[in-house]
Amino acid sequence: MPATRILFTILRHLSTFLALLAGLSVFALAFIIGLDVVARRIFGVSVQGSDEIGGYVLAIVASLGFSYVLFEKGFTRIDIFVKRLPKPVENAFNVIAYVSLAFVAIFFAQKAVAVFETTLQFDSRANSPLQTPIRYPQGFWVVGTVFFAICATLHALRAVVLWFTDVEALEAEFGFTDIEEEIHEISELTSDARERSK
Amino acid sequence: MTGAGPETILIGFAILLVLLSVGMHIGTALFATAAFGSWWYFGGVMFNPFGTMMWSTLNNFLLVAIPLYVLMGEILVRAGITARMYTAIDDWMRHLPGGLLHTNLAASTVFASISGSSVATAATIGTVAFPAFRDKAYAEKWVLGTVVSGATIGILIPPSINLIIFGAMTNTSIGQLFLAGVVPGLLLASLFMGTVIIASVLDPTVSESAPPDALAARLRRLRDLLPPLLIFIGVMGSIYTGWATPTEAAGLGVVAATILVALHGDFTIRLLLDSALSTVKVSAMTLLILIAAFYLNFIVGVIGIPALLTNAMAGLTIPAWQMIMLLVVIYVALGCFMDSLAMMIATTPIVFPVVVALGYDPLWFGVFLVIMCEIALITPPVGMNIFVVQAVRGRGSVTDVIKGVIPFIACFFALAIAITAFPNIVTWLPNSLE
Amino acid sequence: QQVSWLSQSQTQSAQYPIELEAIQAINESGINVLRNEFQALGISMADGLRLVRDGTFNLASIQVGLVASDDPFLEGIDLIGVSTDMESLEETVDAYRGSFDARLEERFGVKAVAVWPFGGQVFFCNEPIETLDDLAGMRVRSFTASMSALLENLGATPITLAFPEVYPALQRGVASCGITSATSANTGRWPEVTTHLLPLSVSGAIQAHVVNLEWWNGLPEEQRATLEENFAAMEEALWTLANETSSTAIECTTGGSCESELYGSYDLELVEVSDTDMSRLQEIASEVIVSDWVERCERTYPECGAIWYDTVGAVRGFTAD
Ligand code: NA
Ligand code: NA
Repeated sequence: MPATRILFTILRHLSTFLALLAGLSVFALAFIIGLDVVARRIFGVSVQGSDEIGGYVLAIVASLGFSYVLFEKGFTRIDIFVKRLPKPVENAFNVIAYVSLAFVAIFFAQKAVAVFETTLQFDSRANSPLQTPIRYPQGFWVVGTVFFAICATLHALRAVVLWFTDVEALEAEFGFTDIEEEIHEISELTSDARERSK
Repeated sequence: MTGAGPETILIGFAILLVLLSVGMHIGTALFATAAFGSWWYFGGVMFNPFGTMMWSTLNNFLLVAIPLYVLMGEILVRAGITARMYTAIDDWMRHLPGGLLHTNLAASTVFASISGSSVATAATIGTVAFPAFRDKAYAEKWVLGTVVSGATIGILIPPSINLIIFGAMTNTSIGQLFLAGVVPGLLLASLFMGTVIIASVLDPTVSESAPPDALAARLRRLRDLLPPLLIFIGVMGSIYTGWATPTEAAGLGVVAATILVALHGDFTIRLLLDSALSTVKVSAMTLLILIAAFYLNFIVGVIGIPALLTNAMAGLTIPAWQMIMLLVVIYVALGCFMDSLAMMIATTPIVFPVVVALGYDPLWFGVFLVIMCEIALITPPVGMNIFVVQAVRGRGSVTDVIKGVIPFIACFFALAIAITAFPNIVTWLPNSLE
Repeated sequence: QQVSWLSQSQTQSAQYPIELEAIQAINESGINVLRNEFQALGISMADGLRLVRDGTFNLASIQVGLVASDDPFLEGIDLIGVSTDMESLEETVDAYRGSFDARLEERFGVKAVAVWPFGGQVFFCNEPIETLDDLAGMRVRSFTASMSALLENLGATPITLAFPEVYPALQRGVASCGITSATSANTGRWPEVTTHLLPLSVSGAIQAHVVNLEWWNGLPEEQRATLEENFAAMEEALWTLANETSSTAIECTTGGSCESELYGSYDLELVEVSDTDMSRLQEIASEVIVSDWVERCERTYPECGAIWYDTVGAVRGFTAD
């Protein structure tokens, strides 16, 4: 299924890009806070609202990050019992896990859209010195949760299809994270670190 | 309403445990439990506020500290600061009875002062520690045990993601909570080291000790301890002197880490991008769980469970300390099977009002709960630190890790008993700095 | 019949007994009240209005200054610097109440069944102050846009902090001053970490109990009457409380006689409010606060300014230029 593969590759790259944006915004936030603290202490002026911006950054990190975590299989699952069950049962539970995650993601997106509509209707502004129109930060939030819902639904569909057509691929893609994979990730991190420490 | 009774709590926990053990994602399991309760007791109406709740959870300035502390840790680990720190600590530890095992514990303790997460501490200390033991005559289970248990100190000594979440959920000052964690954290580290010394003296096969390097080299390497030290002083100092709130202090920590790494010439674009991505991965994963958990908290509240339990408690006449010991038993049992963060978040709304009604300080309960989380992290079958350390080790069976942890579990019970008998261990530092 | 009731008062707050009395009276009349607290449920108080609007709760007590992010018009009932004592606050609220109710009904489908103040919002500082001008250069905790505008005009640096961080922030000097009612400050132990109290009230912190209109209209006539009666009694008791307890709380906080179960006894220095300060505050209010607010408000409600000057403006002596 090359079409599916291409779609998933595009979505994976998109989710990584969004996550990178979110991560860099955390970095930027740290420097805004640093500036605020120093300015407040030394010059007696405050960059108003670094706390407010912080709240938006958190919302952006979460909502733009969800789909990245999904592609990276970063949402924690407990494997200790399922792994002891017969393979067909384990496969069924893997499918259930991803289908239920998709339902949760769709619910999140639906509710986020509803809140966003109310915000647009009332033209709500932050109750703060900045008076930020809330639709901008909430816009990121809605985009992120909707994108997560789409990705999660596609994952769930793929899991269901593989369940009937290609059980080995199901295990590989939706089973529990292989310990080898994790080691690879972590040892990559440390070999980096060790090289630098020399 | 609603006919909620003690069986409601049991049924709720049963549903949660079943969903977790069939391998659902933790966030899904928490959310599904909440959704079931919501539907059972209220039909559709309590689904309405989910959107506004999700937005305000994601907007909580206290929780902004989570990605900031994660980013700070990522920058330091990726720049190799942790690895150099390990060597510098080893210089002064290896000649003690227990040798490198003490290095594991001390490095965990020092790293704890800059990391907000126990799992991050386990992965980091594990990766730098295991190569150091190659070709040496140590009992492997002790090597594993010290890394797994030592890493739990990461959430007791500030900064601590668990304490941040507890503060946000219970309206307790995070700065005060951080101070409250310091003494119990150091006490726990001492208990661990005492355990290693006793075991090494009783059984020479546990460890070996090696002569230290030349003093000049050791003194030179001391500067590798400076980065974590400076950052801890910067973070806690800025909170304590009134320069910054705990969240702002996390931002300052990132700035300080960046400057230190840049001064050493290690700050690269790749390091920045890698740190940014892992920060998002860890934070978004935690936040999904938190959103589900805040909703569960809401449903538990509207069903009326906290009031039910507090009233039931008022009728009991057993002494407070027996209540606490009962809680220890319950938490240890839950912690065997639940993820520690999920356990903390799911039980706080129910237990917090009860414990405060018993006359315990909210700060005390925050620290108590973190100790229970630490136990959950290292008890089989579900213990994140065990999994992580086994993954880093990459060979042998997870049973070796579990065996290694057993001697240290006793230390946790000793600590829980100590803070129950002498709550001042927790409250002394925050009170005396007022 | 039952009422799901979302409350912001907690056991230790001065308003708690009054609200509880109303709830008991309503329970006795045969309507079952299910009371919950924002804090215990982990809900942000800024969401109170939306939660009643969408029918999650039948009734909620909301802080008007906080929900104004969905409609600045509501804030007009208690703008910073407009009413500097309880008497003028009462006049202001009476004058604006009709338009306030109409706006709530029309825009949100909710009805205000009780409108009442927390009490004068005054300054608590951990550094000596004598006049408003001494705030210049100080870091003062602010929680609304208008309050920040006032502080900036006084030369102070407004900083925003989550409530649980205010006490430690005052303690360690992250902030030099905080603004709140004498009652909340005393029960929140602020006097432990501050030294001076400037009892110049910048607002009354108006609160409202609001009900979902659809639910309200669906109630049988006599139940609505019973509820209305109880809400009116509660509203009156809450006004009386704000009037009386503010002075008791100030007494207790500043070393006066303190025979109260609720308040702790502290010895803060009570700064005398000068006429200069009063007129300074009025001046900033009329020149900056009101006109800023009118501009913000008219984005969503073009008649906003006209209505305000006709009602509040008329009783408090503010005129459009
Ligand atoms: Na830590
Ligand atoms: Na466990």
